[in-house]
Amino acid sequence: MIITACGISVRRGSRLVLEGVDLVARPGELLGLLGPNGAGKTTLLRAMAHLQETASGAVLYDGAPAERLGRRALGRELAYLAQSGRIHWPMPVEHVVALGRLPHGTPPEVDAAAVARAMAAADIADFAGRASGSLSGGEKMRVLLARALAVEGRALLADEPVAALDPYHQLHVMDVLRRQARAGQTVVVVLHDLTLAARFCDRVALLRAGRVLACGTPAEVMTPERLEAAYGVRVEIGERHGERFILPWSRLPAP
Amino acid sequence: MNDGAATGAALPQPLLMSLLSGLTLGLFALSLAIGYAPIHWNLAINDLLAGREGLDALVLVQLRLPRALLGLMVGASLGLTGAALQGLMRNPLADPGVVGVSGAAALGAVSAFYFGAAALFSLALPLGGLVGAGLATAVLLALARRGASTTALILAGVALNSLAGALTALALNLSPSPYATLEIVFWLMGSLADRSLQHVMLALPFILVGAALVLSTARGLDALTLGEETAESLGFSLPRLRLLAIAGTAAMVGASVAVSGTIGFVGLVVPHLLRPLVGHRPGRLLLVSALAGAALTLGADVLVRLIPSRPELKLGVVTALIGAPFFLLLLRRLGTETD
Repeated sequence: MIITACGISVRRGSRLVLEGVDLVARPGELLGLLGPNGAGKTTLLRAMAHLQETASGAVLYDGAPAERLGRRALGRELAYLAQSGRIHWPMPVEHVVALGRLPHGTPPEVDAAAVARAMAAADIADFAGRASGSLSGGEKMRVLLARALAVEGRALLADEPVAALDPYHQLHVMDVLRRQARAGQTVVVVLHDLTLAARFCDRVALLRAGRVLACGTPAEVMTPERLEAAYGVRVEIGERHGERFILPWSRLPAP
Repeated sequence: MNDGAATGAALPQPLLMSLLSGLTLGLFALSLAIGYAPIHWNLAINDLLAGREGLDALVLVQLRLPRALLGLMVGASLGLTGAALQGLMRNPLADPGVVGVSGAAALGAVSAFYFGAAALFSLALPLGGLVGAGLATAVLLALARRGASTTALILAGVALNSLAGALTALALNLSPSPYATLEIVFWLMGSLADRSLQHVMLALPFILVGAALVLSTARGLDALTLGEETAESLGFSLPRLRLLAIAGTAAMVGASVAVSGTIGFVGLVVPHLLRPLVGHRPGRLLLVSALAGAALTLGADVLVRLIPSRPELKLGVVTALIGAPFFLLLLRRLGTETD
């Protein structure tokens, strides 16, 4: 599914949190949204998931507005993984994952197979029967990722899915997201970790103050100058096994 | 698997449903069988079948049947709406009283007393209750339609409840005679005694329509387990979901309070008790809570008739007396589980 944001602006009170943003997310591609706190990453991701009212502009799904698809059909095509991973009732894990099947209305055996695939992909098959109340933060995030995978749609939009995870599971979740993209899904992910973004994303969009500063491959976009301009930090960039790693090093003096 | 305490207790849905249906049916029969005026069942049933108006048939149809039917309807309403509101608000402490509809219904009925309409014709009381519930619902629906968040709706309910409580107190304060005051206070306690088939027919349509609305929210309530944003991304319209749940609750609770007064704790305790048995799934909780709410209310109403006290204990008093300490125990257990 091609998701196109055309000149979208979002107003919160009197403040514009997004200002005329254009962005395209394509199938088979892992697109990273980067930027400092308050840059508008989450708002942009929500707008791309049709969860955010926009003041102007439009988001198109394969060229059509969401209204033409309908909310329910979009729910079958596009999975959204929210940042605040709360599970309000201590349901067994497999029931949480099965919530991803709600928009489909498919027979139970079809749903069960999709749930099993999603749990295997997120590597949580071994705690199917556990109560979600007993999960650690990292385990819960993977359960919620499996919930999003169980939708088996054509797009997956994830808001900071690795923020609460240890290094092992950060790499694991990024692997899962990349695999989904390679399998043909349109994957958009909000990230704070510059190295993960540089290594895993096919393209990144760097936001600051509600605008896209730059969009392109990580090598094009994530230059020391641009990162300084966006985050206000100096970075150290190195290379290992042909891949770049980027470390935030020191804060720039406030302008 | 390592947390069997929380999930292993879930019963298969058909088993749970048949157990609760059996229990409800049994208590319904018991409610018919118990009463102050003795009846001969053979005579009553023969008279009914022959279409004769014998005394036993009259006692059965005019006294016991309405009481048992109202116990069933009111209890099911309280259980079902309690489960739906807890799911909607993702809060195990929500209950039909929270949204302000029962308070407003009580105020409506009290107004009927106060202005003397209740003395003119007997249905003025429940009609007043329905009007009160309708007004509170209109306020809530207007808010829901304007896209108010669930928290805003709860707060609006709290405000409506306080206002209704204050106006009810005002009516008591200004009540012209101590007799009227006593009447109001007794009515507020909640009871199923001395109701007729007219009461049943008045409440039934509202309860049926309300139940249909509330039951249609099951899948949406499941989705809300992951928060409002995720539920929306799964294709559920939140304003529509709130509208269905609130309107359905208002119809059921408004009609229930209108015919029985306020009966507390059923809507709070029943979903709480059953939640582990349905694997904590809010959608699955709805129907079983309706059945268990009916069973609990019928059971409590049988109890008030068995306790040899005159005047008869009010049903609302008994449910609160049983419910409140029980709820405290539940909370204590909940507290130690999460520690």
